[in-house]
Amino acid sequence: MAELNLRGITKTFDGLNVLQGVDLEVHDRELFAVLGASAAGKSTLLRLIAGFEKPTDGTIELDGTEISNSTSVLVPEKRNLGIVPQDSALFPHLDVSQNIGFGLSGLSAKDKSARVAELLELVELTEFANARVDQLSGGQAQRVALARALAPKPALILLDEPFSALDAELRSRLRQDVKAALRAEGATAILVTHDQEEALSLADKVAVLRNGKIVQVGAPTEIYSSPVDVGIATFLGDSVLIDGLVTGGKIQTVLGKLTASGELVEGQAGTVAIRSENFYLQPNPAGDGEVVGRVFFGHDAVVEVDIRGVKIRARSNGPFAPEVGMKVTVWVRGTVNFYPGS
Amino acid sequence: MKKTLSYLVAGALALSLTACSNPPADDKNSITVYAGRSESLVQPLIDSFQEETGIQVEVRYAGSAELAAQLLEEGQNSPADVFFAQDAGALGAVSKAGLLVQLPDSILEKVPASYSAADGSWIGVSGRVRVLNYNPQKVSQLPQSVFDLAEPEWKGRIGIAPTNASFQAFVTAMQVIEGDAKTLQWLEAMKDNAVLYEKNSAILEAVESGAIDAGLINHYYWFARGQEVGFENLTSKIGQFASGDVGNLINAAGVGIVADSKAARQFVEYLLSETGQRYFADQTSEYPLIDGVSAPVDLTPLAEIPAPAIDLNDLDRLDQTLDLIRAAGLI
Amino acid sequence: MRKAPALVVALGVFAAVVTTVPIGYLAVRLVQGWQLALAEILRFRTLELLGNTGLLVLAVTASALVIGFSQAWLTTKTNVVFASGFAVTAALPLAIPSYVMALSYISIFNGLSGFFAAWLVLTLATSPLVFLAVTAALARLDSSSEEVARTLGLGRLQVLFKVTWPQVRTAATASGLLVALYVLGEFGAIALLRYDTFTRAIYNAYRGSFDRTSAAALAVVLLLITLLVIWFERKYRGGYVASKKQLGKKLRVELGAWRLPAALWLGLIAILSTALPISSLVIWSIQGSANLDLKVLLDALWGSVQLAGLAGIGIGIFGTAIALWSIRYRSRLGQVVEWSSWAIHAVPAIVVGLALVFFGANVTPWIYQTSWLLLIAYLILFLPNALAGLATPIAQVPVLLEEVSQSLGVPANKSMVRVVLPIALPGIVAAVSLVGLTVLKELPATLLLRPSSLNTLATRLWGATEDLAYSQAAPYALLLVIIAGLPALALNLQARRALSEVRS
Repeated sequence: MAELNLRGITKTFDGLNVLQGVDLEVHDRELFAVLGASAAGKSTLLRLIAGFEKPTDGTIELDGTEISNSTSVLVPEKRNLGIVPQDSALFPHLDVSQNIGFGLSGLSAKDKSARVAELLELVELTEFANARVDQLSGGQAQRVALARALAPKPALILLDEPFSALDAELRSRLRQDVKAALRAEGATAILVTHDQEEALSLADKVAVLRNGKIVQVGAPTEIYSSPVDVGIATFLGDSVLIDGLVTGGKIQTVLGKLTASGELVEGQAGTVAIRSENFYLQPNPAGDGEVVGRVFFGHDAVVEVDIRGVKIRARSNGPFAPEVGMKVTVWVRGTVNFYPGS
Repeated sequence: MKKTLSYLVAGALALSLTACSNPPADDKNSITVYAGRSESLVQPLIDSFQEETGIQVEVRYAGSAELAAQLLEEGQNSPADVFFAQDAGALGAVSKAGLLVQLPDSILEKVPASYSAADGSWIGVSGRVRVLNYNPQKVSQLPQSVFDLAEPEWKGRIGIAPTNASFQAFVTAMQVIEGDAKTLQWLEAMKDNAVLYEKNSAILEAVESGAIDAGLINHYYWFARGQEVGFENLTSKIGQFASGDVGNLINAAGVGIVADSKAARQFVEYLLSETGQRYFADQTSEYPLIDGVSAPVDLTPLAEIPAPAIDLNDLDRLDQTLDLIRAAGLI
Repeated sequence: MRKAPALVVALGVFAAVVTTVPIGYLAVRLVQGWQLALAEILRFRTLELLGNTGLLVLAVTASALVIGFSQAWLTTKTNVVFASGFAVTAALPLAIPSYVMALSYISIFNGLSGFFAAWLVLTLATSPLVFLAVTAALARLDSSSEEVARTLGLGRLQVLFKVTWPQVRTAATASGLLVALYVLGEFGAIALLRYDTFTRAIYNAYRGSFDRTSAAALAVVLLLITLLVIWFERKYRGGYVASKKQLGKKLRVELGAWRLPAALWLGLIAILSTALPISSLVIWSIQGSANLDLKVLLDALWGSVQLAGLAGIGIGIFGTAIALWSIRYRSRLGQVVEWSSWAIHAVPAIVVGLALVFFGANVTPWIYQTSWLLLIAYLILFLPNALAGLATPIAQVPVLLEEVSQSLGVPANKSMVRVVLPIALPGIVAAVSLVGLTVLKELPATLLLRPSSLNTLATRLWGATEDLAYSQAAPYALLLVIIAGLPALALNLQARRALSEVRS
């Protein structure tokens, strides 16, 4: 049973605060994602968990045992963790099977080859058992890296932006394969990434890391639909921001009265965040909105509409999206998020 | 595991460093000889000694002065058992430092007294004469004295080997007979006039090829060459200076024992045996020193050489000679 | 953050001690006989030696720079005929040890000696060093600045002096200093050509005086001069020319009417530095083949190979341990050890030999005149070379691989063995092989320190040349070029290519 607890983790490099007071709880068999922009401190977090850095302050506990604090750090080789780095980092002097079996030195030869075979099957690379590392494609290399990390049945797997080096098509397929493999092994995993799609589609829980602080933790749907502040709202998915005033339990905006989620204080002014996909554009020659821009993506389109002095971006069905110059009425479906203040 | 490995490596290193100490002296079956002689000339004799007696001989070839310096540097730590020098000067110097053991009378009485140390610390094994090796096409009139070579007319035409023991012994003789001042003068003139070589054989080569017109060497180099290619094929000749001139110095190559042992004595005795002496007479054209072995026919008998009168024992001031040669800038 | 294993530390400390103690003992000897030493240093002769040495160093450096730079510029930047061919011939003389070059010239021109002979031979032997350095610098240059200069009206020569030269000046100067250090420490060629510089005077003082304090005194003077030049070299060494990622199009300067003279110039150098010496050696070897004592040759060959092999392995172990310690463990002490061995790197071999003779004869007689002392000399002389060559392959292994290994349960030190060493191994082997080949060619330290029964190709060559027996010496010389010189050149070029790939 792997439970990872970070309490008040702070890391400072040369006076620069990379992480500040980070608290995290990862439960057994959970696939936990840490989502953040580049240089938000994600890799440092992972290195702290792995034991390659010492926290300036705070503690890390694995299954109730403290493994890192500001004065001492349990060496990485004793932590029983696995790492899948960004560019797979396979050992070039060993073949695929030897790579996978690298951490299995405690086992007998028979057990070792059995386990390696098991993992090769798990990542669907059985026929590559004796292939040289340089013969593998990017996606195959990442799968071997995953197998290698899983082989010693570690308490925790750490994935550092494992798909960012691959192209888009490959990425989505590999993601699901990786998720399946992790589930099959019953592994607990922490994934750090800057790719929202990745975090949202893979994880059971997502923590958003911004400027070294955890801003929100929750299930993907929760974070997506109820981002805690404007920053997350715009970071996660595409949001349109307009001014609003709380009036009679709803928010008065140029787009009409909108229903917001969460508690509202009467008379409060603030910013409303509306997801692009929550707009519905109805073609109407007498409508207030005029289509001023349109970007076609095939299966969908993003339509820019000028309405009552505000520009909004709405997602629309691809082939049937309104053309530029058409007049439309803009409807908002579902709830929006309201952030008091500006 | 790592720790044991470290200890093993350290132990092996230490052990290997101690492994090369010398075995105890008396029932040795191998000796080390410091030989200030030319390898091509004496190695065959040493080889036959090894074959005959089964004693292994490790020879270190270098210049006699260098080996003497080395013996003095090494002192009691020296790995050498025998010092086989090209000239009496080097032997005398080493003897003066107390590094040579007294030779038994049975060995000393084999050669005339004038060819061995007065205190019995070394003994001559073959005689040699200094000669002027010259190209008769270039040198019409032989210089009467070695001092004539200091004249400007000899500039660039005369060859000497200042690092060679025989030359150095000759300079010592000059110091003894003519004094330091005159010797230094001559040496400085040589610095201007002479072309410098490392060895006598190189000088002979140079005279033969015409690079220089004349050179100061030991007699046997010319004879050895003549035997090798045929005397009629030699361009150069050898000649002597006027009677009594220091340029005609007679000297002896000799041996001294540094570390006494049965094997070392056997080596010395072998050099003085009929086999050894015959070798010097026949193979290297040197003068044998024991009774019963005659000099090669074409050599002028030692008694008839117009040599200067000097006691070889007086040549033991090699260090002063070297200082003088260096002061002149030849080394 | 990490502690190096005890074994590594032990090797490093041993190497540092072994490197510095004998040189220190030289100073002790000097102090013991200080009156004699002072007298020796204050002799007029010493001033004469200073003048001779200084003159030769300056002359050779200047001419090597001119020749090397001209070769580099012509083959890299102009449309001279047969450019790539001449680029090969320009580097070839590195395969010929300098004393072999001297021997070949002496064997052609009977009685060749003196300043001009030494100048000629050493220039031919060292210009490849300048050539290689400047070529590398020119290759990294973006020619757009030169193209702009041409459009602004500068002629070809003006562009060369005002635009090209300033950009490669650092590399050229650094290589010039290397040449200076080389000439300072050069022994074999200068001794054969009978030109009196410090190294020859030290050797002669060693052979020709009973109190060798005078040799020690001269050695210390040479050491001080060398350290001075090293100090200058260090200032230039650290700065590598910043290379742009995108290399611009290569501008080929049109030589026009100068095309033929340029080619003739390059051809002349090639003939003088390679064709002439090699043919001379071949001819003499053929002459000497009848009298060749094969047993002696094979014995010398075996001696050379033995020493080179043992030295290579020993230096490889020490070097790898120290490089790992200072590069990957980033230990302070490791860097100090690395620096101490590097500081001695240009000490002339004859000085090292002399110091060890003193040290061995007086302090550690049990290894005196054994191969062990000679191997220690090689360690002192060539450990810095090894460290320079080992640095890149060892540093290149990504730290990430070590971390992954650790995460898989393999402790840090074991990760070094299971991951870093195997990956760096090809580079390590190449660097160690290069050191072994350099040991094969070594002359002065071997002359002074060898056990009486051990001969090498170099010492046999030396002995034969002292006798002016060229037909005897030539086969040894040829053999040295073939088994040591050529492979060393190949490895050297390979290493430079790898280095430039890393940097760009």
